Amino acid sequence: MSTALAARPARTASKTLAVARAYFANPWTTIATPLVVLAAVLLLNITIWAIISANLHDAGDRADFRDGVQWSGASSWMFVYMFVLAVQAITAQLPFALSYGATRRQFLAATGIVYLVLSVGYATLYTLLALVERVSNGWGFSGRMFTAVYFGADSWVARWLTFFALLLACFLVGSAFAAVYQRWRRTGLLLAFAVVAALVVGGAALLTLTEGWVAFGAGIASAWTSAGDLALPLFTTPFVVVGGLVTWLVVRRATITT
Amino acid sequence: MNAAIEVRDLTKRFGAVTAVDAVSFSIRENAITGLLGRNGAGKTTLMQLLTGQQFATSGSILVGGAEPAENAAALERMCFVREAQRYPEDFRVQHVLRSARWFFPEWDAAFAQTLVTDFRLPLTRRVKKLSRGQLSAVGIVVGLASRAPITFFDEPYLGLDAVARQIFYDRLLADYAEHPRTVVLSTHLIDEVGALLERAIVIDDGRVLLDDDVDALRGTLTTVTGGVAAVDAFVGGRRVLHRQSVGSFASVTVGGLDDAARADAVRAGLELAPVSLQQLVVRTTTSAADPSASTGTEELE
Repeated sequence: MSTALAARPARTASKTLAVARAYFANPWTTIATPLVVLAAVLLLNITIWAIISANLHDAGDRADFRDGVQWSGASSWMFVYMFVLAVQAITAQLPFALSYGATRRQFLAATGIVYLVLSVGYATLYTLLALVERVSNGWGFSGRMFTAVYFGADSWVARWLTFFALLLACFLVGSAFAAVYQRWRRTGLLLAFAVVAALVVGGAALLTLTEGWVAFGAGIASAWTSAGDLALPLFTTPFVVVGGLVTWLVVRRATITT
Repeated sequence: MNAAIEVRDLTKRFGAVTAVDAVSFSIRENAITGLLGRNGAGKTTLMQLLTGQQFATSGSILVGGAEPAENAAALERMCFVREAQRYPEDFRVQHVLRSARWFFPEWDAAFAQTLVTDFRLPLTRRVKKLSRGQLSAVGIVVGLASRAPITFFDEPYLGLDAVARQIFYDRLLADYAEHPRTVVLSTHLIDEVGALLERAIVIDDGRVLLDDDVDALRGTLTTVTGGVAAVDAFVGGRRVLHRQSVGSFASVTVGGLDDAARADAVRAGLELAPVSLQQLVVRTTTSAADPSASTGTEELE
């Protein structure tokens, strides 16, 4: 073995960092675009609330409005966006990273870190915006976008955890499906959907046959109420775990097909 | 000879298809090796196996003494310029160059900039909007400027015009002379690239047909031209790889002529011409494909 090849030490950590940085090489994809869209959606909503406000004439109308607006799904697009980012991570960032000499393990580690960073970042942003919303009495118009009823929570920590868990779940479930597609293409993906459907229908069939729906429903309900503020994050955890596990296992032997 | 990569009995099967069939060879360190062969011969699969992007069915690959698949230390030293490289969404050319700097420890940004100017690449254009030739040029820029100790080029010049191809060959040779590295280049344009190559490995149908220094290979086949009778008399029982006749003249490609045989041919009034690397590859793969009819014949009236 020549000295030239042996002399250079392996800097294995550097490619993991390189893969992680590649996600931010074009900052628009992961940062700028979501922020711009968020600002636009918020402004649009505030405008609509302002218009509605101008036409609310009595207390009854206003109560109606407040009732309705707590169901606002305006903030949900971010979760879909993160899902798409995760799909792109597997279909585009993975082949790119492999071609530039990263191992699959390095890619998975780097991507996991990126998911965590983005989840923490955007969960924090959403929580801060929820705070502003609460303090400003719904952006001045009793509007609700970040404190919609889906996110529950009176405790700010629980609220942050809810956003964090939901974002992470979107990332990992997105990656899982994309990884299945990357490795086994359309056949694999259809099979994956079939498996999920079978599990759901199978579970439902099982519950029906054993007449266990009541018990099941009661069990879920009691688990939910006993978890209190942390109910949503807790129930999202299985998706996070399964998504992460599937992504890891599938990508470990994934190859790039053109 | 120091081997940068050692391959022993490497096999890769995709279901029922055997893409690489028990091949064994070595890639010499700090030399330019050409991987030659027909479409579908297994060149790309082989490169993917060597760079750890595909997993071998059986056999061993040793890069610096270790298997490359999922081996960060081995992969650290490699750069693979693929035929169809996928870039992350929304990447522009400048993002590719920026990212490459993070991945390759030896990256030379100044060299990359020179190459970008040479190939006239628009830095701010989205990679998706580049022409096929420009896409190839981006790959070449990354491959050359990476200064990776082992660099693979898989048909890197697809879509490049002749001028750009010449720029590539010139830059590759110039940089290789100053900063020696192991280069493996797969190609169809054998004669164009032939001048660059020090070693050639010819693959057909997943098997290695030839593996030798290019200079040695060039001497293995000779074209003998002359009157049909004289040519037939000279050739005798030798193995003929290719025969072409026009009227009363014939031209045959034969192997293994030593000095004495050459002298005989000249005395018989026959013309001897060297066979180019491309012709060598064509003749070898053709005759390997159809060994029962050891002569390919062309009759032109």
